[in-house]
Amino acid sequence: MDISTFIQLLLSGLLLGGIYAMVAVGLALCFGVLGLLNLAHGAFLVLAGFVFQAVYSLWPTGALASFIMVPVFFAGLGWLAFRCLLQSSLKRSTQSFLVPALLITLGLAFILEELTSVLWDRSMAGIVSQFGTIRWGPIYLPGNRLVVLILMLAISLGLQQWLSRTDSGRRLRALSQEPTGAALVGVSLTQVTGIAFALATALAAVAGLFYVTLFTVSPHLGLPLTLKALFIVVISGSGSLTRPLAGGLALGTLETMLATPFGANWANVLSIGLLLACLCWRPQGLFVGKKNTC
Amino acid sequence: MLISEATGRQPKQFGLLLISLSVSAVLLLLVPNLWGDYARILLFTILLSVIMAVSYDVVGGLLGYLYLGHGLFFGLGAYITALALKHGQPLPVALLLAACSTLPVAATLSFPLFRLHGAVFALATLGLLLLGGQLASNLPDVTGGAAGLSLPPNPYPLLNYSLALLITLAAVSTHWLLCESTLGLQLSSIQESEDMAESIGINSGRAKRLALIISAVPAAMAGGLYAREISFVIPAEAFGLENSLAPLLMCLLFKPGTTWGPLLGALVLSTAQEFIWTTFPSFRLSLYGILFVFIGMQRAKRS
Repeated sequence: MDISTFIQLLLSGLLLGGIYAMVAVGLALCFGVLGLLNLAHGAFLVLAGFVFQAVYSLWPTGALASFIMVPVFFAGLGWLAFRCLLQSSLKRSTQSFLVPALLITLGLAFILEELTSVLWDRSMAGIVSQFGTIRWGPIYLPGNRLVVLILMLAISLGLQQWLSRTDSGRRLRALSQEPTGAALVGVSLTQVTGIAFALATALAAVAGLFYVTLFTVSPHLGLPLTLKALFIVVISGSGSLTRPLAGGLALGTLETMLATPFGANWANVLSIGLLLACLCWRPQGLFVGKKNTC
Repeated sequence: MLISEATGRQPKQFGLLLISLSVSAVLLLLVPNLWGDYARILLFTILLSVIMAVSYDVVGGLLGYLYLGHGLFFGLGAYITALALKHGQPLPVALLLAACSTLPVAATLSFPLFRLHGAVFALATLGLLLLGGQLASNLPDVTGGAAGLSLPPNPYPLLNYSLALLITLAAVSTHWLLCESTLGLQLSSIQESEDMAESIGINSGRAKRLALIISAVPAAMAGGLYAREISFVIPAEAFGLENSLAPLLMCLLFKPGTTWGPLLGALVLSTAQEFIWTTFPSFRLSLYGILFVFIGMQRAKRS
């Protein structure tokens, strides 16, 4: 493998990794605050991809507007799903909430998946590149990918700023670090968790938009994608957003690199196997020192 | 004291159960002769559901884990049986082979899996199921890849049906015996509190490993029966999510951890499936989804 192929692979690996990272960060947001492992996350992503493609084909000039509208719409949808399905089951202890929440979100994932495949008739969606290709020496970078790369960076920076600067971001971090203490100083669990869930769903929608611009989405993509991202989140341990971000990037890069010698299918098998092995090796998270069962 | 009580009332009740099950099995054996092929296939499907639900209950009900990997052993059994049949083995031998080769797989997997608890255990078992499907479609030399394995048509449909009856009988009575046995009580006490169970001297690791093995073997045989009945095994069906999720729903629908709970759940759900899904074929998944949401909300209220 010469150097330019390597860089080319690294770039596409980082793009796939960027999608994993965005999915994982959304999931980590919910896991950190609520202790919720949301299996419906990928279904939201896929639905957003299809919605964006439909809007785009109807109204091609409004791509930018729909790029903002779709995540906002999905934030509302996520908030609604949280209020209707999950909030009533939310208890003081997150431990007893984990397993029922897994069942509820799995059900939600099925409903959304079927909705997508009925509405779009089991087809695939993808968007043809709008921008030209940028050439820099022997390296080619399609414009779509460059735009996505820049937007991904911008969104993760924005998220970081939101968490550290704004009031609602601080409430969220307080709740995930010390739930009892946060409740004592008046942070409302239901309000903050609702915001976290809505934000996570919006992030899933953004990841869906990126996915549909880079690759093609099919209705059955959701669950495997969610599962991989959830593994990353659990392995990273709760209470951090940078670790899932890095984990997602690493997994995407690794998968793309492995796909060259072994083929895409084996790369997938290897990545799931690796994640499972890490999970069983250190169930409390790779970077967590003391043992806490979860 | 609990154990002696349980073992004390064991023989009489077990006798009754065995007699009633055998009588119903003999009656069911007559069904294909009376009502023909449709009735046989319908009953066969219901019997498979019963095997899957009752064996699922050992880990999902008695032990109380949220377990999403039951379909892994179903798929494994389906492939092993299909391969054995392809090499000219008779059906009973093929099924036995499937059961015997699932045993070490379940035993090996139980070591890493039971390091995990709760939701992470559920995720890992779901991951294993996906991994099984991926492996089956990536090994075309052995499994025929995504195109699957096809078998010659079933020469003795009645043999398959009677074996299904026999295995159902065995699975249900094993479950009943297990509920009343020391191991069953150990599993229930681990469900209540693992630390407490360990502190009174229960080897929880051993109990959980045994539970997974006892649960996996009938599932593999159900998979084998399925492979023979359909004569066609593909990864998407053999390792499909439904094979894990349907038993879970059947088990949780009534009273998990009892023999009658999953039995009744399997009867009700698989009959309902037959009639609802022939009417609304495109809403299969949503129906599962709604049931999952419902059961999850119920569970959250209880805990």
